[in-house]
Amino acid sequence: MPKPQRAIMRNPFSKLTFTMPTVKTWPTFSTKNRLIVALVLGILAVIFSLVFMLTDKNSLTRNVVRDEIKTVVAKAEKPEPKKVEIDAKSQQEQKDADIAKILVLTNSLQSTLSGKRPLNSAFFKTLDKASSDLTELLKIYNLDDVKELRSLKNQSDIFNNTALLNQSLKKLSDAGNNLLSLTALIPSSNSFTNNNSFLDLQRIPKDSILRKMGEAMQLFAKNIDSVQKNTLDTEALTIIQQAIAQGVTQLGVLEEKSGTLNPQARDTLESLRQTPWSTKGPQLNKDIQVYLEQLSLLKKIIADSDALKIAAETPDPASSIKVLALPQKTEQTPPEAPGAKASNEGEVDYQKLAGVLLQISNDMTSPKTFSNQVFQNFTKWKLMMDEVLENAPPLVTSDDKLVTQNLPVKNQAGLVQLGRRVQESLNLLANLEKSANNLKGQGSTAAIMTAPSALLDLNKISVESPLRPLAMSFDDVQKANLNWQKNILDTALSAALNQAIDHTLEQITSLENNVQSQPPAVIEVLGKIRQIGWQSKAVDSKTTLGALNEQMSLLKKQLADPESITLAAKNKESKAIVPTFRGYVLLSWAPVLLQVSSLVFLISGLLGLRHSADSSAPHPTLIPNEDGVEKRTPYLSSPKETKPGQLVPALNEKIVGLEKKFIQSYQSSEKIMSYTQELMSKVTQLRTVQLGGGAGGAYVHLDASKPLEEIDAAIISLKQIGIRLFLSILENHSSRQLASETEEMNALVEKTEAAFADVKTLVEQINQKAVPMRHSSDQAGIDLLELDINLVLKEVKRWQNDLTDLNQTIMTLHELVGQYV
Amino acid sequence: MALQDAYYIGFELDHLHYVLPTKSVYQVFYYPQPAQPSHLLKLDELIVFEGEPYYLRMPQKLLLFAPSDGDASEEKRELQEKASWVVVLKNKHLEKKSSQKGLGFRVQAVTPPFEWQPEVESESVHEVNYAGINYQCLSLKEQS
Repeated sequence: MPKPQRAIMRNPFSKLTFTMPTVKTWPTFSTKNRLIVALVLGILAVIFSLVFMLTDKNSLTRNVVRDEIKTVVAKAEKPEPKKVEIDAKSQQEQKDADIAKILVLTNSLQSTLSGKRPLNSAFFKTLDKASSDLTELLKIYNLDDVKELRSLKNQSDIFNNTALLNQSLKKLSDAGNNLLSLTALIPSSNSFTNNNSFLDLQRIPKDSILRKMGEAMQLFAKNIDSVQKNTLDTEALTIIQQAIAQGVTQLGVLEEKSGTLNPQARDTLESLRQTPWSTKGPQLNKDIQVYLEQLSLLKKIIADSDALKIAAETPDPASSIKVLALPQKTEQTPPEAPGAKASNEGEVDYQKLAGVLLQISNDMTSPKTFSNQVFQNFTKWKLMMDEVLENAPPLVTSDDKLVTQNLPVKNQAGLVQLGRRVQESLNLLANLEKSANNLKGQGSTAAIMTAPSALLDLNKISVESPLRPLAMSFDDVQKANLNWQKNILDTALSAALNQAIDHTLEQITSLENNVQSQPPAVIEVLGKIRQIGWQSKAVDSKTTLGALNEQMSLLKKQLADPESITLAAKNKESKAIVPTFRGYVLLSWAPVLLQVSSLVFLISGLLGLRHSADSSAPHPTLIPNEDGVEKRTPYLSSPKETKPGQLVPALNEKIVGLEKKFIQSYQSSEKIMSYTQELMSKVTQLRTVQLGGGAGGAYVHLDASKPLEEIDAAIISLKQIGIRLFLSILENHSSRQLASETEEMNALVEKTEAAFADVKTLVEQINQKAVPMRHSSDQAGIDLLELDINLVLKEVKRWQNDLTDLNQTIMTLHELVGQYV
Repeated sequence: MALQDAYYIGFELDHLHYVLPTKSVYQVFYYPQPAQPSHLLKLDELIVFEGEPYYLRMPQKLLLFAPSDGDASEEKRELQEKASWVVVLKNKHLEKKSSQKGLGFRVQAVTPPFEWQPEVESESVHEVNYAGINYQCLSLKEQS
């Protein structure tokens, strides 16, 4: 420790002992508080040493330093949130800051609500996220009694309308989440209106009582696809709502006249009762209504972005909307990062921004193998960008033309704009993780279908077979998918995958168009493809692929010129910042970092956290009775005094023990991997389980008891190994990352267990129904059974996704543990 | 604070959920065979898992329960004998080798370890909600 620092420290700290009463009442403090005080002192010490450096170089007098210290200490002591009255100035500042955030949120909401959004929970999650952001932002304002939409003139109107926007978002997302169960109506509406089924419109006469129900179901079946592809397709949704409303009404009519129905119609009604139409229909009808209303309201609120911008710059001094309490700044600047200081109080740390951007740019140049890690990196960067851009102005324009153009970045303002666009891309990319996993999963499905002795095994299908081109195209999809996984940044590879999917879709369509003239084998294959929903998934995959490509190339393009980014960070433009205290910190934070660690160490030593027996060092006069502190904190110091001579062998012994344990852990995680793979193959078997008993048995039976039992046993083994691995990792004081990774893995095992329980229950239910195997006369029962089996397949598929996630975590865990071996 | 101190392992006993700090747990494993009491040894049960003997007792003898939960009725005993997971505690009296195995007990189900920081000040029974289930934090009886 250099001498001058100790000298300067004695001064400020002796001041501290009477400006901070906390130190005087030291003995009554708990461990946690002591740590906080140590942290605060650490930060203060950093500031002092900075001040000292300044004074040294600018030859200021010691008195000035003292004044500085006084103000700093005073600032640090100021009790933050307790003030009841908030003066007009901070009111306005807070409002300005929040309006800027609202603009950003509205902007991103606008882009969320334009374009196509497939019907899945991801879209509603985005809405939920937006809503929770808004709730957080608005909670400090008195906006409870907001009722009607105002035309935008000033900031108060924005707050008013944003409160409405948030209410509407919540309703939209709630109703939207319920819309997910629309898919439950698909199997019945398809199978009931099929050729020769109950409600085949070709067969039902125009005046039949069943006619209208059939029409409703057909209308639903025809339009649901558009809704699934795009939840924002209000036209298709309106039709779906009409179809459901008609279906619900007709079911009511049928129920009313159930006594007078002919046997065939009564049969149909009985089957209809077992579909979700009667249970889910009325609620879905209401939910669509709410959803459509809120969607149009939402669009109306955010429509006029020009007016929004103008109003944002018009304060409303006479406003009744008040900031009730200034938000508490919960974030604590860690002493290791004094550079972050500069980003406080409305300024942007351009150097840091450029640093993050360059890091991303650098990373985007190397190939990316598909893994969840890649997406976690996107999330990580996005969070870094969020942090560094926290006080930056919002994106000026989200105009597509400007975004795609590679604007030259010349100055700091441009850099912030670039940062905002990168932030947006990263956000979109991070949100694509789930869809990308599905895309990858589709490759596995193709692999399963073309596996040896599976339906589309190329070795089994003759060259003349009409199935040959289809099998080949599935094979292509599988290969292209694997290639794409090797580097998801490569546009040529993803184009090839896109083409392979297209080609397969064409093959399926062309076979389906001539379905009447096809041999049974083809019809069977087409049935399977329909069962697993390959076509609709293929469409999703293409969307995902497109979005991934678009955002990644956008990102690459915008970060293509690292030099200009570096230069722009230094170019302050006309809005010059006079070199200030903070500016100085920014440029000189690197050498400071070294001092910080030594200072923190010194201070923690003073507080008895890690007191080493260095008796030669004179202790600054911070704590009046150091011995007293030591006695009261025995658990903070190490329990046994180890003499230096014994330390090294003792440590070595520990390390050897640790290594042994880690090798064991490593082996355990390998075991888990093989169990998971085994499970995967069992599930594949379950998927291909055939309806047994065709010739001999009298009942339709899903004979899956053996694989189910085996999976049960495998899951228990998985759980056991997972828990034991976790215990051994905890026992060995490993890293937090490893522990949380293991925690996640265990949670996924639990999830897998639950998902599997669902599958098992479904299979049992099917077997309890035990539909007799009669011939075509009991088509209805078989149809219903098919619906149930579809449900099982869906659940198995969902569960398989869980397993893929699990596999991924185990691989990460394996890697992490591997680093220690 | 060691990482281990922040993690708790959950288990189910007689339809109630409890947690113990992982630092007091030596091992957990699945043992589906029902109990075979061995009165001769004056232990409730002796089992062998992966070649290692484990001595099991009724949980009421090892853990401090809230007054209402802890009584060892016949019905609970039966439930106990069928419970298929085993939690083995550490032997507190062998401090030097802190991972030395101690006595174990049967439980109906196990929840993998999770992070939890109980409030230090509060004297009352600690409860934690994890994944929608309320767990009661137990402490160990002094073993004789």
